[in-house]
Amino acid sequence: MDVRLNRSDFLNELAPMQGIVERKTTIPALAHILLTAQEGGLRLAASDLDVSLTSSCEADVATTGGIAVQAKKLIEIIRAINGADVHLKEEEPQTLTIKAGNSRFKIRGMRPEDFPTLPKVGEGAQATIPFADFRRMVSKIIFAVSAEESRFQLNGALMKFKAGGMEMVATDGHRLALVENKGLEDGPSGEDVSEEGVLVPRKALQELQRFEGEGSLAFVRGQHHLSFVLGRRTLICRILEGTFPDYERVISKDNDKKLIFDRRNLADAVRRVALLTGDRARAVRFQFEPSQLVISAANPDLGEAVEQVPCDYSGEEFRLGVNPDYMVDFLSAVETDKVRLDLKDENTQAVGYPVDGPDERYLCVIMPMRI
Amino acid sequence: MDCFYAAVHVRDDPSLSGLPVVIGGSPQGRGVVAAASYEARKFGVHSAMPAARAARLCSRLVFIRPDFPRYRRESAEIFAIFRRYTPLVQTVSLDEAYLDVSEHLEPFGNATALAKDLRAAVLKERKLTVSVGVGPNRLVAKIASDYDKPDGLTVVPPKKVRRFLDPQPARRLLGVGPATERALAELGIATIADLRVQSRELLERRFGRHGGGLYRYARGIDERPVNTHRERKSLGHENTYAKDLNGLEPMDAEIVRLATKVATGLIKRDLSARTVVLKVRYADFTTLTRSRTLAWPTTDPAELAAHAHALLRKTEAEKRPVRLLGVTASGLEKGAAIQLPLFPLEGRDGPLPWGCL
Repeated sequence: MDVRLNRSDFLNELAPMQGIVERKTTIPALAHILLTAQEGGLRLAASDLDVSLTSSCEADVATTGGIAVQAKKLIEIIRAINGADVHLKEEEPQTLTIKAGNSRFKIRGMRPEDFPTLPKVGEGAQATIPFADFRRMVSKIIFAVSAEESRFQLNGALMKFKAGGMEMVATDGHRLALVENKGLEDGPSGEDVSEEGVLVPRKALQELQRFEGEGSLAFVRGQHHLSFVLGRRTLICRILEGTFPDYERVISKDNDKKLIFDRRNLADAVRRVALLTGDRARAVRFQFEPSQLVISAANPDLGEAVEQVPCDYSGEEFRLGVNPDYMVDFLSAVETDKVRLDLKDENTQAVGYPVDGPDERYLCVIMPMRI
Repeated sequence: MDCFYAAVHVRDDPSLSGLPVVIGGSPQGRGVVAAASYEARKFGVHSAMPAARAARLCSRLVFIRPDFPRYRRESAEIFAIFRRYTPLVQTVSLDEAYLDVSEHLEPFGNATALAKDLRAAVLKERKLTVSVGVGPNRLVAKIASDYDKPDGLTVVPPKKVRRFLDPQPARRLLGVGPATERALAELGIATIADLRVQSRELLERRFGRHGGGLYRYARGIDERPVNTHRERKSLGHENTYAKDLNGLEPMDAEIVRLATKVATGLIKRDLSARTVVLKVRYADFTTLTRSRTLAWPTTDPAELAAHAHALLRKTEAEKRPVRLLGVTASGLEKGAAIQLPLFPLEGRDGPLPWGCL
């Protein structure tokens, strides 16, 4: 291969590859990026076998061909070198020469055949959604995806297409976030889209969130894989197997205490009080009293913290143990100035909603802590 | 107490008196012996032995199902008697306790007289015999109490500790189980005297930190106080199956059942667990445990089960028949704030809940 291309274009396409590449892997190829010079440009590919990303860059191609090089070093070099253009050439077999400005690097690589074959998604149901909307939806639920490996069917979010809209749900067994958007541009089309939905692994969502761009995100569901196409980038991920819990059941409908808060006030107060929770038992106490909420935390090793937040409450006093991280995650994901918390008692899940928000369904269910 | 479980049954049913009584599972199934009367022990029956093997040793054995609520009630009555002598009572199990009487010798004047009175009180009020060892510390008292069972009293004054310990086998010492005993035997050490003449350096080189303990114990040195606030260190349930389990599916279901029992026990005692331990015994009796520690303490059966399921997959259970499974919670905390589960685990007979596979 022998290609010349713009350095910042190249870096733009390399950067999202970084997240895909496995950092700790026993398969050397998975720490590599495959570069393929072909008619019209340079193609890039990275994979961890579950999630893979391909992209391309405009380039002057003198000779076609491919080589896989270590991702981390390649990105470091392209980031560090000077000059507007980069010259990539395979001068000796499995060695890539990188020239830019006054620098020249030779890095050892692998044959393209040693790089894993990327999965084919095949034919399947399709839909299109403005990428900005998709990204916003992901940001509203991704915090609730479980990071606990032993609950693998919770290691992703449920994506469900409905007539003209899309729903995403995530839960880690302690809290749950759900967002529904009506702004589907196209679709759903094809079979098997709307009924059960599909589980998208956390990593795929994380990497998609890093994408930039205004355009539309096109989605295809194959038998075992999903693809997301945005401009020249295509992310393919394996569908997470497993049954997602019956989540509508835990969105309590009969929480009779409906309280409105200023979102920032509440978030700041929770953050401050949480400074005095221990590392091991992160619970703050929400004590509801006439016209105020008293948030407190006590820790035998540290001390205690109390803060009053005004609220329009007039019923019986009651209290709720809350993991402050869960509350702050929700309050950071909501975009409206006011939020509403629907509560019942200390053993019942709280349900948070935006107030006067855009025309979409958004809610976050938080199971209390026993304190 | 002497043969505690068996003794309770024999006391309440005089027709059992003098018979070889075994408390435990059915000899037709795969239960084990929980306790055996002295008459049964004469035939070589001992606790933890499979009941079926015990039955082969003696055809006249009388098998009785254990009745733990009854033993717990009896145990509470006996410990209440102990507490009349001193408030410093450390219970070790239902039938074993340490008493620190050093500051509570009045009106008896000395520990020997107190021990005699205590034995008489238990016999009179509960109609059960108790063996007592009197010594300057827990280590010596424990060995002394085992020295003359049943219905014995062994007193080891401080000056006679060495003479008492020296001839006894090293395995009587705290921390000398079968593995350490074998390792000691390789060094030619059989008795406590053999151990006592070894240098601390040699023991520490061979056994690490444990070696320092052996060096002190062989000299009868033990500074552990009688600890009246015995904290529960773990809570677990296990089951031996009448038929070996094959394949992950039935094992997963059993784990959910065991985890539910563990979680119920934790909640009842206001405890939460940071560590989940899975025990697996294959059909050939090879036994192993696997554990993992969680980021937060939990009492959620689904969470305990999910971790135990993950641990099961780190064993060979998929390929080997399994006769016993156990789930234990450890790293227990009292009164910790507990995250309640959003999706409670309902009824253990139902289908496997989500998150549990």
